[in-house]
Order: sequence, then C-alpha cells, then structure tokens
Amino acid sequence: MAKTVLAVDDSRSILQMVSMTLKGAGYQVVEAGNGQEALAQAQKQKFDLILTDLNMPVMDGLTLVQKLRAAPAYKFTPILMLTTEAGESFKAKGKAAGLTGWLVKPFDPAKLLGVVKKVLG
Amino acid sequence: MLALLSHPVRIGLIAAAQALLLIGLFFIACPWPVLLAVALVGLMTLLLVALPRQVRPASSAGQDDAELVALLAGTRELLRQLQAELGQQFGGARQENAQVQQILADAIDKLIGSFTALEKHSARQKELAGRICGEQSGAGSQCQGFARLLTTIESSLTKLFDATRRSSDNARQLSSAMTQTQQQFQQVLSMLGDVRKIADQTNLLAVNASVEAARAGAAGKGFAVVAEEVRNLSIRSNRFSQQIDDSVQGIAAALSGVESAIHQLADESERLVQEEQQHIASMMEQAQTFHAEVKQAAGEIATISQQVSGQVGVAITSMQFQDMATQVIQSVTRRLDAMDQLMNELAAIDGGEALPVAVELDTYHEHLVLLRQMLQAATDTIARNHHNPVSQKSMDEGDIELF
Repeated sequence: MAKTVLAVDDSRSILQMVSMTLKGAGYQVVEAGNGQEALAQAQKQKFDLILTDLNMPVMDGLTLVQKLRAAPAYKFTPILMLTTEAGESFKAKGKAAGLTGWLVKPFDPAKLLGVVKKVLG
Repeated sequence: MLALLSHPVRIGLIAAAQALLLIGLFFIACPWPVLLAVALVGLMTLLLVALPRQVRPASSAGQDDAELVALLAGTRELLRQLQAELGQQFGGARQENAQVQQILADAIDKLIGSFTALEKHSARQKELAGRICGEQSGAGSQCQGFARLLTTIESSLTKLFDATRRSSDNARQLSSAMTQTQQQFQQVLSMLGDVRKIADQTNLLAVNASVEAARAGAAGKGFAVVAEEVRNLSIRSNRFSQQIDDSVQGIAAALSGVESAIHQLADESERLVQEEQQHIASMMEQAQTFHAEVKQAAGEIATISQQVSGQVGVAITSMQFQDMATQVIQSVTRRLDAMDQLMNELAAIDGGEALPVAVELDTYHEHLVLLRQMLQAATDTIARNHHNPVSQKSMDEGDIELF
C-alpha cells in the first residue's frame, strides 16, 4: 500500500511541485494550506510523513510540529521542514520541537525523494 | 541649539529645508527611490518639528519674524504635499507588488501544469519503450517475444531445409536404384531372348522329329504325336517369352519415367533449398536488423525520457523562484508599510495646524519627548522588518540536514 504524505505550504505552486514529485514516485499526497488545515487533516487520517513550510498564515510550521508531537499518533512520525529559512536559530527551534530534518528551498526533486525514502525507511 | 543661531542663519536653514523637500518631491516621481524620499521626509519633519520651537517669542516681533513665519508656512505646505505624494507612492508600490505576485502565481500555475503533463507523458513514453524493448522489460516484453519468434522461425526453417535436402538425397538414391533395376531388366530381357532361341530350336527339332516319324511309318506314329506336342510347347514357350518381354519392356519404360520424375524432383528440391535458403537468410537478416533497430530506438526513447524527467526536475527546482520571490516581495511590502507608518506618525506631530510663532518651553519639551518615544517605536518596527525570510541568494538547490 502506498505511503501517505501530508504536504503543508501556503504557496500553491510549492504544494503542486511537491505533489508532482511525490506522486510520481508512487506516494499518496494530501495538501494543506497552513498549520491549522494540516492539523485538521492529521486528525482525519494517519500520515506516514509530514512535509511542512515554516512561515505560513494562521498557524506556522513550528507550532504545527509542536502540536503534532503532542499527539500520541504523531509522536514518532517523520516531520520534515521545507522552507526558505536557513538560520541556525530557526533550525535549533525546529530540532527542539521534534523535527526530523530541515530542507532549504528550492528543493531538488530527486534529492527530496531521496530524503523522503530515507526517513520512511 | 538652533535657537543660538542668528536670524539670517535660521532663514537659510528653512530655505534649505524647502529645497530638500522639493528634491524629495522630485524623487517621488520615480517609483523605487521611495525609500530615499522617506528618508528626506523624515529629515524634513524633524526639521519642521524642531524649527518653530526654536523661535524665541517676541524677541524681535518685527518684519524678520513675519518673514520667518511665512517661510515656515510655505515649508509646511510642501511637507503636506510630499506626504500626500508619498502616501500615493506607498499605495502604488503595494499594488504593484500585489500585481507582480499575481502575475507570478498565474504564470507558475500554467508552467507547473505544463511540466506536470510533460512529466506524465515522459513517464508513459518510458513505460511504453520498456514494454516494447526495454533492457529491464523481462521475458514478457514485445521485444523479447519478437526475438523468440525470430529464433523459432529460423529453427523451423532450418529443419524444413534439412528435411528437404534429405528428401532430395533419398530421391537421388532412389533414382540410382532405379537405374540398377533398369539394368537388371535388360538382363532379364536378354535372358528372354535366349529362351526364345531355345524355343525356336526346340520347334525346329520337333519339326525334324515329325519328318523322321513320318518316314518310320506306322512305327513312328507315337513319336510323331510326341514331336507335335513338343512343337506346340515350343510355340507356347515362345509366346510366353514374348508376353514376358512385353511386360518387362512396359515395366522398364514405367520405371524409366519414374526415375526421370524422381531425378527431376531431386533437382527441383535442391534448387529450391538453395534459392529459398538464401532468400530466407536475407529476410531473417532484415528481421534481425529491424529488431536491433527497434531495440536501439526503444533504448534511446527510454534514455530521452529519463533526460526529459531530469530536465523537468531542474525546472521544478527553478520554478520555486515564484515562492521565494513572493516572500521577498512580501518582505518589501512590510518594509514599505513600516516606513509609511513612520512617515504618517512624523507628519501627525503638528497635526497640520498653523504653528504659533511663540511656543512655551514646556510644550516644546513635551513635543520632544513625544518625538523621541515615537522614533524609538519606529526604530523597533523597522528593526523587526530587517529579517529576510529567504536565505538563498541563487536558484541553486538548498541544503538538507537530517537531525
């Protein structure tokens, strides 16, 4: 059965490109426009991987990670941050919140797939 | 400090302020030097806030003060114009930023649609190429099936040619056997000739015996009967020999026809095998060439599909400029908002009312304190907007770090 990925970004184009990349490799992708929408999706179904942006309206990526990690179902689920931010202070906060990895945009589709395969085992 | 300056110097400063305001209005005519204009208006506002309160009340309430008030009023009017123009420029800049974002979003949406379709078609092309003749297509591919078919046809034709050749050889052996049989029939015919000679001699002997029996008279009657029977036997023997000769001749002629037919069949088979074997070999070579070309083309199609897929990947990386550009534009908009706010707050200090020439010192102090608080708040606001959310300076792919 195909692994499911929740892609979270306020940029429609980024969501499209992430979906195109992952769906092409056989993953099922569900899209969310911000942290709050992502939380709602995560309650509806269990995802194998969360791929989220940092700077988003309504609820940012860091808050989303903290809320997901507080939920037992997502305590050990891989969560990757895909963002334009590369500051060490942001990474430190993400790491403390329980992030699995940090990817700086723009992403290379092949390398994104490589990371996704790696964290999904 | 300005209060210590002489009156002509103050007049000169105000005149300089007016000149700077005019320069600011000039810069506003261009969209991007907005920031420079903001700096100018900030400086002018400070000057205008400070200058009126430097004027000593009623120290020399003569013509000089009237001139000073007129200059101040003129400068204030210029400031109001500058503020209004700058407000329009900020609004215009925000609208243009939003327009750029919308154009980028629309363009990228279509680009992504195109590249998604391209990637999909490329993947389908690769799949089809693999099914036709891919290296990893396995035994079930069309290419492998065609190769097996060619091998099977070649094997069957080889067997057919071998069988035909063997039949031809057998026919030649049969023809040879027929020749030997013909020779034996000739021997039989020769022997039959001898038999006829014996019968003729027997007949002659019987005739002579009859003559001798007739001479003997009554004593030879019995012998004459025997001689007659012997003669009859020789005649019958001759007739049988002739019949056998005719039959053997007929069989020999038939065998000769069969031999000729078999010989012709062997020759025809041999010729057919030689000609068709060359023809079939040529066709098989063409089929093998076609197969090799199809296999090579399928391999090239698969390679091209992979290259297209790789290029689509590069395009995906590059198309993320829209997200990055949008974030940078949003950051610029936030900076414009902060400066717009700063400009309005600075300008609001005087409230647009006519300035009194004489101002109490306490009021002047309150204005300064208010100004300092506002400047501090403005500094904090601007500092918050120093952060650029986009770290990448180019469209090279970003770093990846797994914790």
